[in-house]
Amino acid sequence: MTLLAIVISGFVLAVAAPWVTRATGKYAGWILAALPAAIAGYLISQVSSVASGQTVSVAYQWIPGLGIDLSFMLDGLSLLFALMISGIGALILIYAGGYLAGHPHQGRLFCFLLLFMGSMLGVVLAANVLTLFVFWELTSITSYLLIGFDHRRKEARAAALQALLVTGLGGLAMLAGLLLMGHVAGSYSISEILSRRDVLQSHALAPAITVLILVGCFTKSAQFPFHFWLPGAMEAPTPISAYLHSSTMVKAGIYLMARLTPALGSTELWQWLLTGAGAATMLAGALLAMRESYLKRLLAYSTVSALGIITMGLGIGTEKAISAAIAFILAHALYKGSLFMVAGAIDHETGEKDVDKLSGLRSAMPILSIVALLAAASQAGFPPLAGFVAKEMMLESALHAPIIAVALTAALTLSAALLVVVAGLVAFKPFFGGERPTPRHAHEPPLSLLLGPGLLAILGVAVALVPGTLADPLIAPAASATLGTESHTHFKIWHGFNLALGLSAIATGVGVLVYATRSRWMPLAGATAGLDRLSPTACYHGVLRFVTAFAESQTRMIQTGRLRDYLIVIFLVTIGVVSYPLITRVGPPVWNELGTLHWLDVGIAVLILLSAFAAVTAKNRLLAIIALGMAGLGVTMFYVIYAAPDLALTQISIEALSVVLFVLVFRRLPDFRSLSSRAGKLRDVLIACAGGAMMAGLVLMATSYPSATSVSRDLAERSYPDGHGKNVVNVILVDFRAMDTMGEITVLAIAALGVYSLLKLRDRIDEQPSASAPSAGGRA
Amino acid sequence: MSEKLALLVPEIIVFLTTCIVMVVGLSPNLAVRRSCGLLSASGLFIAAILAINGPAGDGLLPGLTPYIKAVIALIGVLLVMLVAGTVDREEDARVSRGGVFNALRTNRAEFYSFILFSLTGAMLCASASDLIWLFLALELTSLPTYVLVTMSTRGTRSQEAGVKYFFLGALGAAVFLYGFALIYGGTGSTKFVDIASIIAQQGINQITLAGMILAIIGVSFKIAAVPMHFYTADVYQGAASPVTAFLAFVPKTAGFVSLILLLALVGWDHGTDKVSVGHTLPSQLRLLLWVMAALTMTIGNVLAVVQSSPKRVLAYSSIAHSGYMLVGLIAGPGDYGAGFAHNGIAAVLFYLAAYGLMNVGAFAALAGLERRGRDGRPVEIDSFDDLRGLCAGRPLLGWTLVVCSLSLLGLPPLLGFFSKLPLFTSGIASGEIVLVIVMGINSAIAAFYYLRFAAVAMLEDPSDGPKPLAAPFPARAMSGLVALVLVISLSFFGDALMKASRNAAVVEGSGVRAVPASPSPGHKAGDRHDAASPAAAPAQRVGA
Amino acid sequence: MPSTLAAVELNSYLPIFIILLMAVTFAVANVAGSLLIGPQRKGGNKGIAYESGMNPVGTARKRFNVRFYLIAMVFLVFDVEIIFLYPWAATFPNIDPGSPDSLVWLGRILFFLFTTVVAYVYGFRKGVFRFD
Repeated sequence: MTLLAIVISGFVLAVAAPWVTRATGKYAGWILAALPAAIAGYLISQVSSVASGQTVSVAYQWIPGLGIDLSFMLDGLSLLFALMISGIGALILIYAGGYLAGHPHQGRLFCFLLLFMGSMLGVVLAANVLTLFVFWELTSITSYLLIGFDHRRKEARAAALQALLVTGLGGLAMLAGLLLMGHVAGSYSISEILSRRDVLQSHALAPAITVLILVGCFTKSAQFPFHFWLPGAMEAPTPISAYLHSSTMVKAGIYLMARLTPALGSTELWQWLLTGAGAATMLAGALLAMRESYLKRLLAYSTVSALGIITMGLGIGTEKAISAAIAFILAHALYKGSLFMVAGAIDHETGEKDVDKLSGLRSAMPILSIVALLAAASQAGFPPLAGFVAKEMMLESALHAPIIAVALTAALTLSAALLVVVAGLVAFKPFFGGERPTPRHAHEPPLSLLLGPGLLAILGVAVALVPGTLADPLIAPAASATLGTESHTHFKIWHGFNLALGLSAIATGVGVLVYATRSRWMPLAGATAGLDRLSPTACYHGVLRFVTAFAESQTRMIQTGRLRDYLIVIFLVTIGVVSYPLITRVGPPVWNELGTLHWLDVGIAVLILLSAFAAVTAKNRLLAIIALGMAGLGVTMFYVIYAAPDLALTQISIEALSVVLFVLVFRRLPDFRSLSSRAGKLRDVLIACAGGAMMAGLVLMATSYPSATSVSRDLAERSYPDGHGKNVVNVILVDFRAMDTMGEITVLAIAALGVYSLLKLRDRIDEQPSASAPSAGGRA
Repeated sequence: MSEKLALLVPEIIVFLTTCIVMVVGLSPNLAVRRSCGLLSASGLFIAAILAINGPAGDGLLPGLTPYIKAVIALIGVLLVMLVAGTVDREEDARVSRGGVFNALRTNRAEFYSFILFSLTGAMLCASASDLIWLFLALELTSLPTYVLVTMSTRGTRSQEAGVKYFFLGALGAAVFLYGFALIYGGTGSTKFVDIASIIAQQGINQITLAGMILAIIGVSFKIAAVPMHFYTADVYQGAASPVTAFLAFVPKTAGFVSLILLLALVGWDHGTDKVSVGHTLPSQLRLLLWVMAALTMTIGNVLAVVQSSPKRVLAYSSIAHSGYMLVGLIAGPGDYGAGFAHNGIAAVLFYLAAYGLMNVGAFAALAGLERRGRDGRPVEIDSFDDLRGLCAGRPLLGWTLVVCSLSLLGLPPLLGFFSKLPLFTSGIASGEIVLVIVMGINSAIAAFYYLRFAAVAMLEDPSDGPKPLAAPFPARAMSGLVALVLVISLSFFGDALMKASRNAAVVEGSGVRAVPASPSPGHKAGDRHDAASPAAAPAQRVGA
Repeated sequence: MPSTLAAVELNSYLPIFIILLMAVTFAVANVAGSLLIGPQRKGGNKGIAYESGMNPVGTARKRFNVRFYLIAMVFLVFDVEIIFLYPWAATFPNIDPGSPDSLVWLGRILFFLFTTVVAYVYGFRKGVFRFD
């Protein structure tokens, strides 16, 4: 019950948020933050019971027909994430209250933030993969709204769309993977799926499932090559970047990977994909950060890098690595959330985002500078901070990785060094050195802007200093849930002198060195700009352009607006589709059943063919009609030969009537004009011939398959007793099918009448050229 | 005989309403004339209630009949609300200014009666148990729509649309009629029950197969699927928005019902033995439907991406939705007694209802706005610029558009997602993984243009210059509101409708592998049709 | 086999062909005879449409009111109605009056008549029968 309330309450409060904001003004952030704070409080109260291995779960029916239910569970992994989401959420709401004080759409921002928080809690608490997917997509759409919050700016809208497209498309791939997985496992419940590891991994679809789900996770967690949307998303106001794009939403993919590790993990494919993508992301993020000078973009790339490290840890998959990844998640959430808020506070108080133009703010904002240093030191991995411990654990596990351990360790060390540089740029450079003028006069930010970053930075210290109280109860159960077995790794600062510590020291040293001499390296980073053409961003724009161009060319090609072109396609398709099974299944028609041909048959057939040819090639409508009539008469001759003179008489009268009707209709039409080219005509001839061949094939086939019951004998038997006529066809026409005949005559009469009136109308239009076209029911 | 009549009570009600509307719409009194819409809606509503409580059909899918009738009639109510004010606007204005009433200049009677005729036809499709009946019902659905297109707006564009629609429609009708004739030629019966039992006994012969192929191609006109999809954009754009909403739903529903009935003749005939699903469809038909589905959704989505007119976007996207639904047809009803998630037919039936609602909502937002044309006459809006900032300016229309377009996109947790999901799951269950992936990619492409609606209405500021005015017909906005409420509420409480569609999608045995008399999991809720079960009916020739 | 059958069958149609032949011969012979033998006078009263009676006014291609078309359509409704009434009337007496079928049959034709009435009322309202 409480779990459901936790998820739903965010949505409920979100709806009320605009009114609350209007009513309470500048205290709105503080008031709204009560809800996430309460949620966090509840979650903290559950820590000890979850740590002892209990899981809380609830299930309510939602859409049982589809196997979707509102079922939630709270285990170690969920608890860690939920706590981060609600705890940081509370701080962010307070921060946003200060950051956007007086903004006309502040209520809307709170609404979106709370919606997002509810969705995110839904993702991490869901106990059913489809429910999880529903909330997953909700985070995408709320993130879209949040990134596009500043909707007047075109860049913000484009970034929002980019983020949504990338994560949304990844989400679709993930949906396909989840559905396949549910299909294979026979259930959509996460606990059921996790318990069917053997079924899942031995199934032929296992690789497809893994890849599809990972595509979803990678897009959401900004893994290479889908990382590019994250820096773009920095168009959002800082509270949003701090919340979504550092500590929560980008971790959703991580969460799902961790969640599914017991079911899908430790296969070779899984390991290679995760470590490969993780390492690539880690390096790409760290290297790309070197080219940036805007605070938030720097942080964004360092986030990408950190996400890569976590993914790599999950991919290595040993107990140590998983624990390290979990520890890194926690440490990263603490310091990165803090750094983002610091960056926002700097921007808010000085109006300057460019690191190169910021210097010496220490005296103007002393508290902020301490907070920034604490958080940045954690990112740089200085002891005794959470970031240090996580980095140590990660290095340790990379050294013992089952695959390519050396390469992974080297890459990790390099990334760690570069993260030191980023930390220096973000938190050292703006505060130290000589003072420089800023667009706005710099001063200490208000409490609302200090509380969040300060608290998170202090937690970063506290976690590392008293790990037994703060870190282990969170990390160990989460690692256990990820592993599927009990985890014994502990979060502690001092692991003794080992290779990992040495590597860490080297990384820190190199990082400090690079930072100190960064002016020399900058041109090098700029030189990589030439590679941008090959970057995923370029691919993304290329795909967009391709889809548009493809659609345009298709529109021009397919949608010409000419009925004739449409007909060509329809006829071709019909002919092809009908003929294909005839040819493949029936084979050539069975000639011997057709009997012998008389010379008369041949002669008439030639006559019909000639008339048809004349009808098609005639330059004059009248001629065409008459030729068509000739063809009809040829058919009549067949009736005569094959002993159906009555049918022949009927046919003759119908032919005559149609010729008269045709003449009536066509009399007033203009002469034929040749509108098609020679090639076009040839094409039409071919299509017509193919159509004729298809019909001939159908007729041949029909003759070789006498229908199950034949109506003719029955009618012949009933002809005299019922109809008092010896001529079967006459009896059919005037007795058995009298209604049809009458109907036909009526239809012909109405048609004739209609044609006549149309001709009259034409006369009238000729007389009054201005007369408007008739509309149905009007004075037609 | 009287059982068959009892089956037709909803249609008869709608038809009687048509008769009344035809006369009332020509009353000299303006207020009486204006009651046409209300009368039509009430008639449809009564018909829907009667259909829900009505007997099951006597065809191969007995549960289908009441379900589809109720869906058509209920969404018909919304459509009737939506078409308010499409015709006779100037005439009414003239008369209320004191002009003399002229019966020849008012089109209301014809307009509403054609709409009701078409709805009657679509409902009759669901009652069909015979090829000839099905043909007549399909044509009754389509013939009025040709006129509706032409009379809905003035100008040459709608006339061109009407002519194109008519010619291609006639071609489609000819093709499927020829197909029906070949099916009769191959089996010797026009009765569904007999045809199915003959095919079950003797297997499908080539002439029946050719007939089925032609019938499917012909019916593809009704559902705007490849290769008969060409008219869609031209016709939908040429017609007035409310009529377009009508075209996108009613003939499509009739077409899908016909396809379900036709395919049930040759496939999905599985008794209690768990035959692997869908493979009972002849491989040629399966291949044909597969290619049709893949091409239809791809062409629809790709072409929708570059359109600049919202109506054209919705037109092309309606092609794409037909493609999605074809996946459900290929999947078939699944193993005997399969649940909703694995029953492709149930998925299609549910999707039809959901699509109808979302479609009404999206078009209601378009139809709720208008501009002044150059001659001062109101014209429809036809660009995305007119939708900019709609949520701020006109929240009801704006949010209706946003929610319905996101739902059409299939974004969770909206109705569109829950209606698309069973298509995915049933496709996977029947082994059509590739097709499901094609569908997934297409859903992704759909994001490009559906998000445009949402973004334009929600995020952008209104454009400079004159803003579009609200169309002075509260019924239109009301239909949008109802659709919005239903889309949202069905997202959370859609299970009853899913159960209904699940019960509607039970294929009865064709008489050879008779359905066991004991209640099987398949028809728990729909036990009304036990007496009408066609089981054990011997092959019987249809008399002349 | 079919062709012999045709030959046998065709024999029975010989009288018809003879009659046709005679009719054609008669007509052609008369026209040709009058052309050959009769006096040939031109102009004057010979040229007018009717040698006696009223002189025609205006052209033959005169417009006439479109309402005639509507009248014809309404007439057709009548016409078709009769077509359906005949077989119904011929069958109805054979149905057992006690059976429920008889009511259904009666109901059907009443329903059909009702639709016809609706068509007429519609036509009436639309002003088909108004000539002003």
